[in-house]
Amino acid sequence: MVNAVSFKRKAHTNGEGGSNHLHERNKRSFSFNVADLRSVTVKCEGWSYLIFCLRDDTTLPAIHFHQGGSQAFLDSLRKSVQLSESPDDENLLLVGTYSKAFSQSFENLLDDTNYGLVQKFKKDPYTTTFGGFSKVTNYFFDAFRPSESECQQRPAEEMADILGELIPGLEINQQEEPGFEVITRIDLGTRPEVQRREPVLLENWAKHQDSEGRLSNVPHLKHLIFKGGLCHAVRKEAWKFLLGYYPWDSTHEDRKTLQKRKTDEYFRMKLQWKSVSEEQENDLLSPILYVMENEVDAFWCFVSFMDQMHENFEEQMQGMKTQLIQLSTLLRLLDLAFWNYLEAQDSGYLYFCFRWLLIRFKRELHFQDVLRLWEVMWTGLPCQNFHLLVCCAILDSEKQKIMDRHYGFNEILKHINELSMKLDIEEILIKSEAIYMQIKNCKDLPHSVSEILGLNTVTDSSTLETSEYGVLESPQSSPRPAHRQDQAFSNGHGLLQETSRNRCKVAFIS
Amino acid sequence: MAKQYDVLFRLLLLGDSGVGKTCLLCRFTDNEFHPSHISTIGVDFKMKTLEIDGIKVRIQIWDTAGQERYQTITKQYYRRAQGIFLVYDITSERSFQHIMKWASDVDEYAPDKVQKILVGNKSDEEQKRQVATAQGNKLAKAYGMDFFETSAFTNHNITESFTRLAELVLQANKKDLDVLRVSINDKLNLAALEEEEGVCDSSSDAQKTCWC
Repeated sequence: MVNAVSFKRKAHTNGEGGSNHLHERNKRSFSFNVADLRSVTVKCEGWSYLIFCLRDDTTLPAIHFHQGGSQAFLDSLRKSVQLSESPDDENLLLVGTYSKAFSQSFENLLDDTNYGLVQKFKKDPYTTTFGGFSKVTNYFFDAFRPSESECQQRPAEEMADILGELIPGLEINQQEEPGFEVITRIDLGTRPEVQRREPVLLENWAKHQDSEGRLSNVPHLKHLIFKGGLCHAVRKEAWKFLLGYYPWDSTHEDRKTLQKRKTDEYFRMKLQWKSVSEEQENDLLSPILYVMENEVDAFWCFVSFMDQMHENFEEQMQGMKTQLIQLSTLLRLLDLAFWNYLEAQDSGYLYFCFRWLLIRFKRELHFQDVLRLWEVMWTGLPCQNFHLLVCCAILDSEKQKIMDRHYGFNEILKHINELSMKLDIEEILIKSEAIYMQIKNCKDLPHSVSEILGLNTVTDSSTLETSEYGVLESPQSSPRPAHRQDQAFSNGHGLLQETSRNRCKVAFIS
Repeated sequence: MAKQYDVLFRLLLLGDSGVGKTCLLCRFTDNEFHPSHISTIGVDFKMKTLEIDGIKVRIQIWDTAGQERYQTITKQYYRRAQGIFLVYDITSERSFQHIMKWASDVDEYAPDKVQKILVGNKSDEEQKRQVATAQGNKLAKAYGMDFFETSAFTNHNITESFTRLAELVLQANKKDLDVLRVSINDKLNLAALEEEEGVCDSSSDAQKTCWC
């Protein structure tokens, strides 16, 4: 059978008639004779997909081009058949009766490079960059899988039902269709060794205060906290600075006044405060309450924390969607093979990380470890969105297992859910920082990645220490005229108002 | 080696936040009860095998977050279900009123053939009751559903309600069931093979017989 268009292995194509549209055991692999093709419907729903209709009125399962390439596919097809737009429907391409290349088999339509890639992918789908022609990862993965392993495959019904399950509006796959662009693997270089330090002790903390109580050398202090966290005795005070309740440059006296004013404000507000705080916000509140041991301080620290987090809790979940997309972008850079694997298992939208992101690992770690992780994250070091690198680090430790055991959609979700309380925070922090350094040292970093991590502001990486601090300097720590600080405190929400990425809204006080 | 099960299908727990969906599930699958309420984030599932009419039925029960704002996400799972529990809390009138909304979401997003039952949980909290048993019965009747009052705390009607929904799903798929009976020997071999390979639950299992 020379004239077949096939998405299967060559061996299968030979000897199989064009009538064998649907493989019995795998509805996603199909073959047909191009001579039998009547029309192709081209549709776009974030990504393009093609539906083939044969002359005997058979409609074949749609082929989805989640990462582009549909146009190139059609161009290839045009080498065999004449396609013309239907006068009635611009999405419908009719196949002309004339064909200049009936004798060409589908595989010949692909140039050698691409075919080689497909072959390689068949042998080792996990490590092959599945770029080039075959960006239809979900389907190709299925179609090319050797039949011997079919018993481990996801059933076609499941594939079909999950595919429509992308969160509405969460279109990770909706990268602009880049035509036939080959996705190149970016060489990140080796991951550097990272060492953690001891937590900051009370005496270290005291050393950073002048006689009036102003904290000095804040970047260095933050660096120490980033590298080792805080010992518990320091937390009650230090968290107030980290969260922006206390300005770093305030004196003991300033803080006393501030606290007095904030206490009055709190009790005044409490009278009219309608608690709309939801349970997940309570997840975020409990560690703060535990550390502060004081309702007023806990409240104001929580207000600051919610300034960073409120987008997670918005009705439309936009903050969550954005983060999942950003995480996907990072994962793709770090390990394209794993990213492809997740895509192929319909898990590419990373919904299994939802809980991690929503409440910043609160339910994944032991309570004491949550405190450690949060204070490290609040330093704003070593880059913005460091929590996404924490996700990457955890996934990095699990990916081999996930791929080796051929986990599918359900198992991935289950596996990730069950990591809860089994994670080692120090190990994760080491890996997260190492990943950060690996990315930072990469010369051809995609713009999207530097954007997410806020690395584009760093122009000179030769002086590592300085540049590190340069990025990390969070807005509330930079010296500001006193009256502006006052202003910020007067509404309790203003602290981060001036940062570009934390557009502040009144999160939960009506 | 004995086969693990003959068929697999998915059930879904729906209802307001705090009605006890996760507790029902934990009681049913692990016979555990945790009184403190920790709201579910995202989705999770647990598995259990039942034997109904000599058929080993593996059920995958999906637990969802009840909160309004996560529903764009949880709705994505409706389509995967063959059976749905609509759960309210007998001590919460509000959760009972919301059953209508949950039911209409099910109509909109779940498959037509989906089987539903109504569950009024927390039946042990009689002194706090806001929804009479008769009200539950009436609503269930109006929707043509079976109705159970349950208590995850006292383990009242838990197995009964889960088994009932599983039976309904089996009945609704009677035709496929007969096919299954004929080919049961093949299934046996496949199950044995999987056990040997140590293939774990869920998706790889699901292809054996899954009615969607």
